[in-house]
Amino acid sequence: MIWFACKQCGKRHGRPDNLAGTLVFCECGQGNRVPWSSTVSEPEPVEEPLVPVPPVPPPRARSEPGGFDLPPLRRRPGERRQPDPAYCLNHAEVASEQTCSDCRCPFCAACVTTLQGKTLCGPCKNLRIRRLSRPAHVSAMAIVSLVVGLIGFPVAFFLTLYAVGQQVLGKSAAGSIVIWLMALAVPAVALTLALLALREIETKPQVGGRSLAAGGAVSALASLLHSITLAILLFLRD
Amino acid sequence: MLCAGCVDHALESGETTPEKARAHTRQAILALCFGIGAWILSGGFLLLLALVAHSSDALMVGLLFLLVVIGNALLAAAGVGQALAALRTRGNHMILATAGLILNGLYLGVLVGLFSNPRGFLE
Repeated sequence: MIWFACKQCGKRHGRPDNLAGTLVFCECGQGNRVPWSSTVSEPEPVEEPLVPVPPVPPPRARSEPGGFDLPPLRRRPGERRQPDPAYCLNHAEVASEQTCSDCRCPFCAACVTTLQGKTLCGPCKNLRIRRLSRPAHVSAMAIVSLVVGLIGFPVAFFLTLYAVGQQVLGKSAAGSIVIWLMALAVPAVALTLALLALREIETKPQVGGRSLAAGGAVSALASLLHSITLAILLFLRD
Repeated sequence: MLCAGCVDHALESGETTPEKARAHTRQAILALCFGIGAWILSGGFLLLLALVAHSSDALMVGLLFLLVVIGNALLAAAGVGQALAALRTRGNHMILATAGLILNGLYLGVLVGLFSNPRGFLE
């Protein structure tokens, strides 16, 4: 044990040998470096007179007559408090009258409000309003439908013209039909995806991207309209 | 700052939320811009094609015109989507959205009509 005195107040401190060189703070606020060897003598142990301790009676349970009202036990970290359903969660002395529709906790009449026809506590009401005011997230299907629709438009356009050219030049009719079906495939996929995305957007209020899905659907429809019109005209001509 | 009752009333009456109102304005303006842009670009390239019709660059300009027309068709398709979304959301810019829908829809209709003309390809 290394013994040293505070530079400011002179209080004697003791630290184990392995703490030599470390900084310790005295109660007066002064920082002192623990020396490598004791700079003051070791204080003599003070022997205090023993005071008799009065015997403490064992606590009695609440149920016993004349039992003590023990303070409630402190919860451990992570331990969930079990609310008494007969009393308000916020006011432990007020009887509960309502139950929150979202969290199912008991509350008094002053602690709940009605929103969208449901009885909600304050935090659940705030959570619902925050969800409603949050911007909708864009549907991934809407983005994909727009991309496929925009890519499919020139693909379908040129493939259809190519198929028509083959037919006009008197090439194989089967080849033209295959090319024409290939031209129809991409817009058809885009249109299907766009319709699915639009249905999802209409049914789920927190899903957005209607403009993207509509754009994909329109480009796909225009491609299909162009391809089918040309095919019908070609058929009528032959 | 609104009380829960006023929020409830606004939700029940289907009142447009600020986020939806902003989206409506943005979509209507975008639809109009896309429509005007598509027509102006196509008109400009058509004018350029007419000016260089008898020169050696006519083929190159014609090809460029075709690409621009196809590119503008994509722009017009996206514009129709924006206009439809703006009209579906409803708000204070319905006229802009309708004008955008008409411009973009006309562009697409003219394009499909032009390139589906049998006289141009079949004869």
